[in-house]
Amino acid sequence: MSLALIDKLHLQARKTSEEDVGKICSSLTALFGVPEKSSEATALMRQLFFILQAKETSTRLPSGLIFNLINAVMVRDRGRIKECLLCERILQEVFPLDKKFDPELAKLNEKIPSPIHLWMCQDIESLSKLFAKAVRWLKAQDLEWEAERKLFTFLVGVALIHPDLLSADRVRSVHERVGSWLLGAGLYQAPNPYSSNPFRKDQNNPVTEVDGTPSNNIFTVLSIGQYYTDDQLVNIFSFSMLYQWISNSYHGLLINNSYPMEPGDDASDLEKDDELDLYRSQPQRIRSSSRSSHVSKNSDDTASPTSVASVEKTPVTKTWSADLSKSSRPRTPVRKAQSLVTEGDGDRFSLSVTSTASERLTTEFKNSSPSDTVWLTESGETSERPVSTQTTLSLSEVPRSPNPKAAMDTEEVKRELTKHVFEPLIGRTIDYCFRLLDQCDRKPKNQSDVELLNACQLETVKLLEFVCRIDGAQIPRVFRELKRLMANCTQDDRNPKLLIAILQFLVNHSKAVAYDCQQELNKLFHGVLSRNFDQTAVSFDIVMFVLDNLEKLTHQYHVMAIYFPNIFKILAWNPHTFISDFQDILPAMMSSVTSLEVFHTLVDLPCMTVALEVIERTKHLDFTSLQPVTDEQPTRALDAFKNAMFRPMFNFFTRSEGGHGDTIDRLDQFHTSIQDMVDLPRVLVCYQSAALLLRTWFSVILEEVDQDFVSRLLPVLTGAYRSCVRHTGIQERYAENHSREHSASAQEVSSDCRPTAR
Amino acid sequence: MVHAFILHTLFPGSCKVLFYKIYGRSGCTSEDNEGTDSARPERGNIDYIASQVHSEFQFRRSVTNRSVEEEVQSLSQEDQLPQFELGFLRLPAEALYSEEKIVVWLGTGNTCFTLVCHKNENRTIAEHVLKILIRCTQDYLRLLNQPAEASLKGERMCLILSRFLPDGTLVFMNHRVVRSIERELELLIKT
Repeated sequence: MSLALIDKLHLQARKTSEEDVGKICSSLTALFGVPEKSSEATALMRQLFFILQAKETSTRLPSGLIFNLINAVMVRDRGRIKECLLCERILQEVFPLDKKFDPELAKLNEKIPSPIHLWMCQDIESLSKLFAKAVRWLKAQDLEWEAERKLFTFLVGVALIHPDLLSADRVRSVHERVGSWLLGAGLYQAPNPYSSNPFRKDQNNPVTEVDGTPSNNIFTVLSIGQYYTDDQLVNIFSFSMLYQWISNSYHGLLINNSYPMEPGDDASDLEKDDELDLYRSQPQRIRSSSRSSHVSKNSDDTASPTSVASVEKTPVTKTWSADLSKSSRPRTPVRKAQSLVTEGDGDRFSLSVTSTASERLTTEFKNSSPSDTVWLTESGETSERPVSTQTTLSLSEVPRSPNPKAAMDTEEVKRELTKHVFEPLIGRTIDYCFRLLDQCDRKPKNQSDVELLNACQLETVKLLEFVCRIDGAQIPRVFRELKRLMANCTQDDRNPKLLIAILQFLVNHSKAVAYDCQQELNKLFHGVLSRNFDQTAVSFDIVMFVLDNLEKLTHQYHVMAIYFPNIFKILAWNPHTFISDFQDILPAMMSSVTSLEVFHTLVDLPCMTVALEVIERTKHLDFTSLQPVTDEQPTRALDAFKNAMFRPMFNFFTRSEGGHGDTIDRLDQFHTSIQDMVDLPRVLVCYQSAALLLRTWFSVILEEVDQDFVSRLLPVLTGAYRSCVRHTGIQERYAENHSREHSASAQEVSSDCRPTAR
Repeated sequence: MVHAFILHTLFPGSCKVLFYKIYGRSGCTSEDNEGTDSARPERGNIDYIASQVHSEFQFRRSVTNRSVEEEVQSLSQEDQLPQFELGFLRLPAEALYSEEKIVVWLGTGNTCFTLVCHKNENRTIAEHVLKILIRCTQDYLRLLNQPAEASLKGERMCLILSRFLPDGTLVFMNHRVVRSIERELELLIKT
């Protein structure tokens, strides 16, 4: 299919008149909900969607059709899921809707809170109500996994888009649920849901590790089973969204000034939600019955299919508890007690949320340090109230407390308060992450899981890093684990992305464990970067790492001043991709010592690109097959590279560290020798990028220029001009791009400095 | 939860968005949206991102010396997916959205699969999910050979996305999870 055909189709769609759209809509309205005409209706919907998506302006649809669409989205007929999804997509195209549809949309708010509400629900008040409902519903233990997934995704979405809706009690209650999802999933596979044999006997196979050995530790996203139970699927989804939830809810709570107590967040409110019953898992449904290994809450449920799983769950818990005590990783006594308590009152008894949760809190407080006593008192008073109100301590109350912490500044207090909200989740997140890291040491049986393993390692390190930001007390043990991991990935250059993630942890937290990560940073910006600048993902991660830590890398670790020539390799190789990023990075590379060398590096950036190209091409080249070297001036870059006189120039342009001189003496000769490569697309784009960066360079200089620097700069500028003028071949492009930038900025510099020079 | 999924063309010339889906709300343009019934700012953002990726891909094509014909030819080989080009773009804060976003894209000769991610999202898992989406859309829509199918059979695209990118979530799917979703899809597509 050619572009011309696609163009033609798009043009047709765009030109569709309102009348024609009207016709499609009226036929569609007539066919809506007529079962025997469903395929015609689908065809019309496809057509309508195609037109709407292609149009540049939004189109108004007749009210009748919109009512039908909203209704289809609301009912969500399981048998017609494809059509429902398309209806949703069409609605998205015509959003926001007219006010007259508000009552209809309000009905949608009575349904299970799901991500669709994030864009459909226009007013913050309804969203707030939905948020409260989602938190409430989440406490119901017997929901279908799909419903639980939707609720959690909705909560993550709210934390992302409307962090102002978050409150400590709600977030804490979500944490408790998520924590039990993470560590509470069963270890046995689900029976085959597609088997139609009524006499089959479900075999209780345990899930396996990625290398095929049976698993007897915490279930994670890396546990392999033929089929998964509901709780295992929820485990997979909750881990997938964990970082987003933790980071967004943490930032949300920090920016909220007080933690309002929401009335009606009570678990007993669950009874009011009739709608909730629709989402409870029912044993007769194939999917949920076969997939549920949730521990059943009724003792008379033992005859139901779920009983197998519930019986199996006990030894699993035991194994894990036993594992805990055997674990080689030291745990603080507080953590240990907490883990065991958590495990004990996890899924099994959690229907009586109120009592178990307050018990847990009491236990936690018994274990907490004296500095936390304020919490004991606060929650001691409230412990008879439902769990959701236990941490509702508004900031204004804090200064009145007799605790010495009252003297702390508000920011500190806020962090302390927020840390407390995260307590139910922190320990469990770390346990899950450590378990994942152990699993990542195994060799996957299935090749397609290799990439997943890498992603898991990265996610784990990111999560651990964030958890340590919330609770500094966790840094030492996380540090020990990550140090081991780092030793692995610095030994062989196998996983640079992981190294970068670990370095992020070190940059943020190494102070707490009195560790200096300078050496590791040097490794990244020297060897690892030199070997991987041509790897898209690695170079992007390095650029992101630099941008995120610019301040520390510049002033604390002095990486930017030392390794800027190496960092420029990323740009020289990808001049199109990273130009705007380097405009942000460049000023950090410039100091009174380095600015001139940076200037030369920018002017010579195309030479760096050529040198890198040549080195890349000669990697697999047999030098003996090339023509012997002569004394004549080489005119091909490859010949120059072979030539002992020129080789040092290539080495200079691809140097890793700054401070070895500004540029080379025989630059003209070098330019002549690489003429055959200056028209390469990468080199051409590099000229443009270098010109843009020179503009940035000059703007920084203009702001901070002093007389001494100008006196050093002016001869350099004249030299660069001379070189431009003398060389026509390469410098046509300089003339086009550089010189224009140069002359304008240089004039500015000199005029700026004239008064001072006098 | 990613911000958006975009499917667009990579042919030289103009870039056509074939399918897109926005998850959640952008956060910054909600105010701009009000009162601008006809302008569709979010659609403009999608087009802009697609064109940026398109331009980056043209650059990559030129530096690797590949011709469009070669790329399209590699698509005609049955039961074997062609080589994909992977790329990332940073959208600085306030450029399009109030917060920084990262674009992860995976493309071949004529079609590109692009995810607009929030900054803290795992880019390796985004790449993993994109690969799964490519394989699946190739199975059910022959998308690499007939890119326009994505716009013409929107309901299939919606269904595939709803399973492998449920509500925009990048799920850590091991090969068994992928397999069970594929089986479920097989049944759903037939109905």
